[in-house]
Amino acid sequence: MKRWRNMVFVVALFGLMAVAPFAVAGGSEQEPVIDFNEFIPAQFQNQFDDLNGDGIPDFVDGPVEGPTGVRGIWDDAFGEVDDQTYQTIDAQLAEAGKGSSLTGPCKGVAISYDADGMSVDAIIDTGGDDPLIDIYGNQAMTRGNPMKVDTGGVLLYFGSSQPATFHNHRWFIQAAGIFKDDGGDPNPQDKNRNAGSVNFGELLPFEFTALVHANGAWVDEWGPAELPEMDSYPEPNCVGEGWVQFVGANPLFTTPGAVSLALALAGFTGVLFNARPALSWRE
Amino acid sequence: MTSHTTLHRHPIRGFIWGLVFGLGVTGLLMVFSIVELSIPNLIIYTAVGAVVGLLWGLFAPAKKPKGAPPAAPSWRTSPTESAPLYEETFPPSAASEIPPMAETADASTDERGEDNEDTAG
Repeated sequence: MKRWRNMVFVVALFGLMAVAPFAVAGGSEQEPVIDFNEFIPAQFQNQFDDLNGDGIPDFVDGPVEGPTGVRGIWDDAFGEVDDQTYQTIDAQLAEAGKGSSLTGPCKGVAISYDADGMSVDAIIDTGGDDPLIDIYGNQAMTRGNPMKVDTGGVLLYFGSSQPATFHNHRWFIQAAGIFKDDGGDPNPQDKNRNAGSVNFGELLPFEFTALVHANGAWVDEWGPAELPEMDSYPEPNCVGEGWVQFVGANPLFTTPGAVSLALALAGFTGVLFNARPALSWRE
Repeated sequence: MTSHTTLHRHPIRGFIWGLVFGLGVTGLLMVFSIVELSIPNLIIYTAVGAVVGLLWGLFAPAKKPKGAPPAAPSWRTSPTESAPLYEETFPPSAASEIPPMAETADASTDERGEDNEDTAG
């Protein structure tokens, strides 16, 4: 009887953990205040439509390989030159409003999609010292309202430093003190904007879910030396920080979640039955 | 000969299993986005789990001993019989040299030489 009771308890606990993420995921009743369709270039408009009704344009035929960003010669990342794709977006950003947690002239748009091309989240920064905002006009990338990124999906982005143009610049971005990427470029062609996509589904070996704190900096005239994390950076620069929540599959069905569950169960069993003090008979 | 229990504590086992448990729970807290993914959090929560496991291994309520106590000698199992003194005190060869009680004292008289039956009547 006791064994059955324990089994029912474990099954109920597992079920609760497996269902809870879906149960708490409710829809927002807020109305969008920003039309992200404005930031889709005209030549790509036919590939997007708001299919899931959240006000963010979705891929009509699933995620496709978007344009990749301009790669600096000091970058560790990937990309190729694509200067014409988002030429008109920068002007539209200036009209969309104010807000940025980034200091300096940086501004941009980022939209995340799941593996089916449905939008997950979108943020916008129009430059200045105001924080980033989401489609509803709320402050974005806070701990309570993090930027949601599907680790099995795609992230589209557009960034700009207009009207400033950085040369001999260096940048870095890091998350959770674990993930880090950095790069830079002499920028002899005077580029001051970049657009592209990141396909997490192809980049990552497995999906995962987590809440991470990210920060980064981009400094003009720094040179080829690696840019360290500092309390203050030489001007002009762009410095920002925020919260990103990686979402996707049920956490328990991701590799980290399954391993964590196995460790927790094994550890709990070991503590309970193998480490408890015991009395033994002795003559 | 008497049977008694001894207490065995397992602080090392508790520490190791607590470490595993703490690591797993920390991972679950992180994948469910309850705590942020970071190295300090990983270390702190895992260390707390290890310490809790260690304390459990030291101070948790002890498990009862398995099975029945070791079998006692037969004279211990019968409440009406008393142990012959020579069994524990003397080797068997010496025990045979001790004269029986009946030969050293009259069974019908007490130490004062009075008749037991009289006192009873």
